[in-house]
Order: sequence, then structure tokens, then C-alpha cells
Amino acid sequence: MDDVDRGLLHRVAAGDQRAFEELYVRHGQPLLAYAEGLLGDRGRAEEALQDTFLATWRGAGSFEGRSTVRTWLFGICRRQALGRMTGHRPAPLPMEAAAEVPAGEPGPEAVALARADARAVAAALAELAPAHREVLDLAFGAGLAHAEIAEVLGIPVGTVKSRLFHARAGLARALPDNTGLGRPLPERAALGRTLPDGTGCGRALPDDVAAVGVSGREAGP
Amino acid sequence: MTHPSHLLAEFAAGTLPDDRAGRVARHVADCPGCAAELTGWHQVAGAVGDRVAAVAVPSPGLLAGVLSRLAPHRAGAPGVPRYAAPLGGAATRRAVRILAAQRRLVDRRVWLVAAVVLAVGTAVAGWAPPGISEQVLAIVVPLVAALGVAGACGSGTDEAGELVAASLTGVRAVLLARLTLVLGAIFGAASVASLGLVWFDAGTPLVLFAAWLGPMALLSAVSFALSVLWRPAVGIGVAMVLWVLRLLAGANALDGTVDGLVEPLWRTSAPLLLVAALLMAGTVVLLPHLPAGLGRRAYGR
Repeated sequence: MDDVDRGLLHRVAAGDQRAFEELYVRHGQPLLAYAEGLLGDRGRAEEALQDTFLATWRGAGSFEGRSTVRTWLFGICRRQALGRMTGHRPAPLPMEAAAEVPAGEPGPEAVALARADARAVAAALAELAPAHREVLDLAFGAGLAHAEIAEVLGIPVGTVKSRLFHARAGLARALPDNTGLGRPLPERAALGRTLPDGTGCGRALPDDVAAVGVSGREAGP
Repeated sequence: MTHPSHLLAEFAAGTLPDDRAGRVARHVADCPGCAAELTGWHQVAGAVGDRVAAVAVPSPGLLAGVLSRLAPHRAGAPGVPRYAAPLGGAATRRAVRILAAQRRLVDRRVWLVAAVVLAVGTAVAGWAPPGISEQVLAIVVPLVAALGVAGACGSGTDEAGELVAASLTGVRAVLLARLTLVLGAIFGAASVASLGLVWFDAGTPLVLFAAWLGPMALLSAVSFALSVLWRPAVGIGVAMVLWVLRLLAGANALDGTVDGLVEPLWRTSAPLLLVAALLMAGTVVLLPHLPAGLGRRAYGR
């Protein structure tokens, strides 16, 4: 996939308009969806998309291949969209506590989400903090790998993972009938600890889960 | 297998590499806990996917709008954008601004080392009896200038290199600004030191200035040319070789032929200054025309 993109971008750098149009066909829609998610407005999202591709045309020669072409395009699009945000830039997230990565036991959010119907989840999506919606968009809408998201957002991969968990928790909290999800759940951690290992789904953490960050409590809202 | 909780989101998004995805799938098949987690992620992925899919494909008019605004491309030459003007009207003001910008970009250690060595050298010169003072300056000042120029102008020495490459200011202007800045500062400091020594009756101004001016110009020109066109280590190396030869000649450790070769380099004469100036000017003129690879990291071609 990226080989094709690189070939196209190489031709764009040489001034090939055909290749440019092909690049637009391949990535225009996901980029527009991403911009629209950021800006919440079709018109301004379209402007951001146009500027993204103008910048791509101008900057194709300076692409250094340190990331995938797709990551590069999303990075440009993000800058264009952020530059277009009038007044209400999304407040930076409060310090991102390491998300609890549940091991083996399904978290209450997962259970609540699994039970909820699709329309309720879609409605909850609209309630989400912009930064959380953005990371969900990149992961599940644009289909970027976590390493790519980390590059687009300029944050470590571990933060991408924990932000996704926070986003999912926020989504579950925004569901109707979500009593109990908003508060820290010490009893859940206790439950995890008392589960015996070796039952197939006991509390066993791989090393790199620990790297993502495991806290004993649910991070507060 | 331990629970792959941290991989489930990527697994649900379908962005996990095949081998890891296979392992996760096998685990989830046997683990109700992870399966429930995964269902939660699938719900998220479905909702986000639906929302994104609902965004209409950009209209053809949008692409037409972009195409109509494309500037013609010079094939294969994105290059360094040229300085255009908005830095400010008059040429002198522009020059001052470029100099000020470079002052911030030159590695702070260059200034620190130059200041310390010059201060120590001046102190030693002041303490030495008249007649020796100028010899001390003739040893110290050229060395400081050669090292400073290599450190500030050499290719690839500079963390701000990418910034420089992306700036609107042309390659030559940046290089000239750095050279002017470093040599100017060292020249100024050495002049102050010499006048201070005159004040303390350590020598006459003419003798003191003549002792270091010529060798400073030549050594820094050699160091500059090699640092920019090749790399700083080469510039510093050649300058150091000349410097050490001169030290040894001064200590009568070498035979007469080497003395005869090195000694003229440590005299302030018109031909010597001319050679130094030509060397520097030639380097600045040549730089943009060199094949890629030479000096390219710092000056972005």
C-alpha cells in the first residue's frame, strides 16, 4: 500500500498531475472525514482538505520517507484543520493518567458497550471530548496503526493506547443507563487481584501491558 | 499466552500485523474475558466506522478547485526557498536580522570555548614580559578563530540545520552571516585584548595586532573552506597541523626547511590576507554549485 503511495508521491514531486489526482482519490475521503471530525463543519473541512492537497503538491519533494505517506498526509491535514479552528481550540486533555489495561476480565465499559445498541453508541460518540474522538477516528475510521497515530499526534505509542482506553471509557460513560461507570471502581481492582491465576483468565499481565501503564484504579473522568 | 488486552483495539481495527493478529484471534477464541473486551472494541469500531463512512466522498468540484490552484512545478527541484523580502526593508536591516538569527543558532559551546581560551591567553600574555606577549597572542588567537569557524560554519555540525535549510534565507547568506558573526566576534575580542595589553604596557599596538591578524585570517580561512566543503573534523585537523608545526618551529624542534615554510604563514602581510580572503570568498561562491553530499546536511541541498 505504502509502496504505491510512495511511487505516486515521487511522481507528484516531479510535477505529475495524474499521480496527484490518484493520490487524492486514494486518500481524499478518509482525510475529509478526519477533518470533518476535527472541525465539525463540512465547509471548513473541505477547505482544510483542499489546503492539505495544495501543501502536498508543494511539499512532495520534501517528503523524506521517515513515515508512511498516509501518516504524512494525515499530519498535514491535522495542521490545516487545527489552523482553521476558530476560537474554540479543543482544550488539551487533562494530564493523561495511565489507563488501566484490563487483563482477562472484561472492564465494565466493555461490558456496557457490548450490550449497548449501535444507535446509542453513535449518539455517545457525539458527546466525546474532541481529542478522544480524534484518536478513535484515526484508529477506527482512518485505520491507522497505533505507531502511525503516534506520529500524527506527536505522542508516544503508549499514550495512544491509553488515550484509546480513556476514549472508550468516555464513550461508555456517555451511554444512557451507565450508572456506576463514572466513578472509580476499587472493587474491580480487588476482584482482579483475588482471581486465581491459571484459571485461563486470571490476572496475568504481559510485560508490554505494564509499559502502557497499569494502575490499580479506574482513572477518573 | 498472556492476555493481549493492549492489542485488542488494534485487532478490532484490523491494523495488527498478520502474525500477531493470528495469535490474538487464537487467544480470544478460548478466553471469554478477552472476547468480551473485543466485543466492546468492535462496538466502538463499528460506531466510528459508520460515522466516517457517512461522510460523503468529496465532490469532484473540490478536486477541480485544487487543480486550478496548483502552481507549476519545476521538475525535481523543490530546493531551498529563496529569500524574498518580508524580513524588513533596507538591506542593512535585513543583514542585522539575519545576523541576529544566526547568533541564536550557532552552538553556544562555540562562544564559550572561544571566550575561555581567549581570556586565558590574554592573561598569560599580560603576565609574560614584553616581546613574548605578542607571541602568545599569535598562538592563541588563530587557534580560537580556526576552531570557532569550523564549529559554527562546518557542514552538519548544527542541530538547527534543518531549520536553516527550510528558511527563506539563501545558503550563501546563512554561511556568510555565520562567518561574519564568528570572525567578527573573535576579531573584536582579540582587539580588545590587544588594546588591554597596550594599556598594561605589554607591547605596542602595531606589533600586537600584526602578531595575530595574519595567521588568524589564514587559519580560519583554511578551516572554513575545509569545514564547509568537506567536514569540520578535516578543517580543524588541517588548521591544527599548521598550528602545531608553528609551535614546534617556535621551540626550534624542526629543521630549517619546515621553519621556512611555516614562518611566513605567521606574518601579517598583504598577500597572506589576500589569499585568506580569496579562500573564503571562493568557498561561499562554490557552495551552492557543489554536487549533493558535500556540505549538504547543514545547508540543505
